[in-house]
Amino acid sequence: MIEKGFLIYANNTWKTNYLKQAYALGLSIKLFNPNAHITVVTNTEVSDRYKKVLDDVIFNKIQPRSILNAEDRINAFDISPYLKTIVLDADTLVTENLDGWWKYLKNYMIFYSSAIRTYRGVIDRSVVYRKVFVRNQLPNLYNTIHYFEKSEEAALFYRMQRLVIENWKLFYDKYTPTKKQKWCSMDVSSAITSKLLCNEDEITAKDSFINVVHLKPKHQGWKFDYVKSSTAVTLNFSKNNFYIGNYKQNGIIHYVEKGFLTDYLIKQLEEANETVLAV
Amino acid sequence: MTKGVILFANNNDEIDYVRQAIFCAKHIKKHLNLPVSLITDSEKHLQTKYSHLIDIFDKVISAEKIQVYQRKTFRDGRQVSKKLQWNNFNRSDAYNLTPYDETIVMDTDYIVGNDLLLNCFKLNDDFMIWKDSLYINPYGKPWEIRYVSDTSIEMYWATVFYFKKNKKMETFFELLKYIKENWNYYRWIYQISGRNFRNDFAFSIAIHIMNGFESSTHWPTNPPGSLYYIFDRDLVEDFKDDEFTFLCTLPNDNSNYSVATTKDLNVHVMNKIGLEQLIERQGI
Repeated sequence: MIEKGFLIYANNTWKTNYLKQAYALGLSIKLFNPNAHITVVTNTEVSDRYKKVLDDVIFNKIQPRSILNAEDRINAFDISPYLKTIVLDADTLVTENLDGWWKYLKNYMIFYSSAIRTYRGVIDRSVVYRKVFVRNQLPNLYNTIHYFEKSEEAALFYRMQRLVIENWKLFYDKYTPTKKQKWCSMDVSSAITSKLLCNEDEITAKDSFINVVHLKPKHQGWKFDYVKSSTAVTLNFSKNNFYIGNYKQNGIIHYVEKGFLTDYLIKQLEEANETVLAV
Repeated sequence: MTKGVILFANNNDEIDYVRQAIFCAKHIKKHLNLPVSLITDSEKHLQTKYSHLIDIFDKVISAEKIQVYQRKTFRDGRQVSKKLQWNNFNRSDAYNLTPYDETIVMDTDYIVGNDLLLNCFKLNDDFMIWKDSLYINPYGKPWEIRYVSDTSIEMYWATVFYFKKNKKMETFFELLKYIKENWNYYRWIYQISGRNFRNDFAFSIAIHIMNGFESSTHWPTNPPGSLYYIFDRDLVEDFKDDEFTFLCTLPNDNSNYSVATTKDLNVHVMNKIGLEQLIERQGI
């Protein structure tokens, strides 16, 4: 078994090319973490160009039945070829070396981020997208980046999570009675799982540096009510740095809107990777 | 190490910044007892109209009169507004023009009411400028300014700042000049919709660049105390014994004002027309 690596789910839908996003994410991981091992789970044929970056491909010809593809993502624990796994959403980008993150995560068997930052680097405590969590007193967990080490604790957690997701309507009725999500959400399901196991303090830390820049517009503290962040700020890559609205980014960016990921950005990341490999 | 304050005063058709500078300098002398130098393109005006008050300045440094095309709306409360010439271009020359090793640069509409700023000279920081500010209007939350624009970088106020001469600050002022010369480019890049060159914005951009395009709490630092201000939508009602009385505009109410008073505070009075009238009443 490989000691550690990144797992990305990229099941394409008629609407979104998640595999392309996973490729861009892979490029960004490799740029700053050249020895990283990446596994992608996808329902789409992977080209040789992509395979140069994505080390392992787990092909699974399924059509996602839900918008967030939760029914496939519950297999992460079982499917991961790593002893220690960081699971990343496909629509994220890594902006730095993550050795420090791995070191920190060694202290946990399971870890979920529970805070997000704006592109200006400010921790956002707004609950506008988190009403289900607040009103139902659920742990505020984000699946965008999470970590697990193959262990009894993690196995128990993900078995319970599978139970919640496979019976999500039942669990949402019981554990989110005051405000309910109308679809099966990985975040809500993980939160319910954590609540059932009473392990919030063991799987997250509110003040941890492990968090993401979350680009949903209402997180950004703007006075104007932008429908899309991509109409307000740009995401640029220059000299191995990512910039959003002129702010140099660090950590992980969850860009959410596919419009941020341009072909030009991918080309730049490919060129930057070639330079790194040449060196 | 020499220490002092410099003020910039470039008159336009209606606002006598030189007179404001005299008023401002009087309060600096009273509370800080520091030498004050005036940098002005209106030296003749100073000599002819205020020859009896010229001694308040340690030095008067003549600046070249430049043709200024930018105009700004100056208000006096909700009712009065005038579009006047706005010449604010030589702030970036402060490094070269100051006669002091350690300098506080101040807007002429910043009225000193205590000696807090003297602490600038006791600290080791080479650059202090306010990022955080406090609007005196108790109902003014919706108008508070935190960013250069809604989606842009954090705002630093060039109203008052302290700097020590060193290589880093020399570079900073060179960068400021570059931003000023290429203002049209930078205002687009930083999502600033107005065309006018504004020192607050140029300083904010330069600081952002010098900090590697990231927010920083380490450089520059806030000067001692807080930056209190009123906007030009608020009225300057009275000033006596370092006590200001303002009438502050209320959101969604065009007929009433809220009274606010300050005592022994340094205040940035952005209502320049109101300040002019107040200085007139004070007999300068």
